[in-house]
Amino acid sequence: MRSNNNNRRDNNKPDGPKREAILDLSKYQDKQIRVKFIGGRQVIGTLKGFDQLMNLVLDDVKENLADPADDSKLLGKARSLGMVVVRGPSLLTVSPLDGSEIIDNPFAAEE
Amino acid sequence: MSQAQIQQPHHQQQPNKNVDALSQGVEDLYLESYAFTTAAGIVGSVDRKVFVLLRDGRNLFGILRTFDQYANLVLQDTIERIYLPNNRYAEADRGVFLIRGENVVMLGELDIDKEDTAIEEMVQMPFNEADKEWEALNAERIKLETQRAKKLLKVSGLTSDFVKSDLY
Amino acid sequence: MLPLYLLTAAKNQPMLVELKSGETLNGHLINCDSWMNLTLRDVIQSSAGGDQFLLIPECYVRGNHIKYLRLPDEIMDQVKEANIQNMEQRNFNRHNQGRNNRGNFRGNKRYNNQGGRNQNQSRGQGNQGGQGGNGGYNRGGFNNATQ
Repeated sequence: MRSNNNNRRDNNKPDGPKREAILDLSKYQDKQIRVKFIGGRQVIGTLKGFDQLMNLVLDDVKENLADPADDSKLLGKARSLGMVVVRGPSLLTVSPLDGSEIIDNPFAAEE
Repeated sequence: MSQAQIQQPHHQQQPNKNVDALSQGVEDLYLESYAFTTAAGIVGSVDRKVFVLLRDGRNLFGILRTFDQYANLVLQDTIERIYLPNNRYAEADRGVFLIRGENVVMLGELDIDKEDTAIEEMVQMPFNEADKEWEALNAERIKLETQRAKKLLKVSGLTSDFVKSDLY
Repeated sequence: MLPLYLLTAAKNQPMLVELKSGETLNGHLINCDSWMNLTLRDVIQSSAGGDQFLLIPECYVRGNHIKYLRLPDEIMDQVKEANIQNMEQRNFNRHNQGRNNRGNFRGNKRYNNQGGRNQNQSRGQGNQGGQGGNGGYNRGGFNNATQ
């Protein structure tokens, strides 16, 4: 009976934020991903492995270098790093390279 | 001799310690007064118009709808306002904001009767212009501070705690 | 209702995420967790200066690096609706059970009390600011019309 009551109460409460991982990294396995770091660095590499804490193992990694004065301005240069372990805590964003494209200002039309 | 002396007071303390430990445990769970906790400070402002200062220097004005223990805030009908030197200001409608608590410097409830007295004397300008000017001012300041930090380090060996993202 | 509950209720909605670095991500929310980590789809990533734009099909964002999120205005109405339904459900159960009354009635009453304070919402000067609202780059953000 008690368990029944609990179920009913949970249905009434709005869904809370989850506790398990929301990004399924297995779908990026062996694919190229772009990883941004806290601090402004950005790399592209092939995902070889990962864990629950979002530590990643990337292969054939190329770092896109940024202007030393202004971290957000990417220069065209890159340096090769080979195989890299990425620490989960320093991750900022993770996105697949496939399907990414540089576009012109999409908001300019609104003016 | 000295050891015995030391042991005695220790023995006397122990029974007291037990009593204190119990009441101490209770004190750890509850505060004597909740009036000055941050939650108490914020909950009174729910459903009222508030202003929020963010760490990047932005001023937001909106109706506070909800918050949590980290001071994550939800504001509705938010307006972003930029103040510029020479008595100018600009506003932009922003809608619903969910602000992460760590980026809030301060927030306060607005008195809706008095909230416009500050800008009555000021000249309003288009937001885009104001935004560009504001960013230019910030960039100037960042440049100045980083130069100063370099000089301080080189000359006096002092470190600066200026952070680029904290412009409030 | 707590802020993170509101965010969870905003799944599949478009939103603008500004990071501490000033970069903005415009996209639809796929999922979120209790640390505010987000997965977004159909994302337009704008640099802090508003000069570089990248379109990404999917993106994961670390919660601890978020400055703020801008949500569509409709989210508040949707949540209020859902809340009212939950309250009705709960009242129904309460009558049936009698014990285990653990409703956050006070919390929900705040939402229902909006009527008294709505005077704050319309500000004459806010309309003037509206022209500048959709500024060319990052902060101009998403437009509901694009949907």
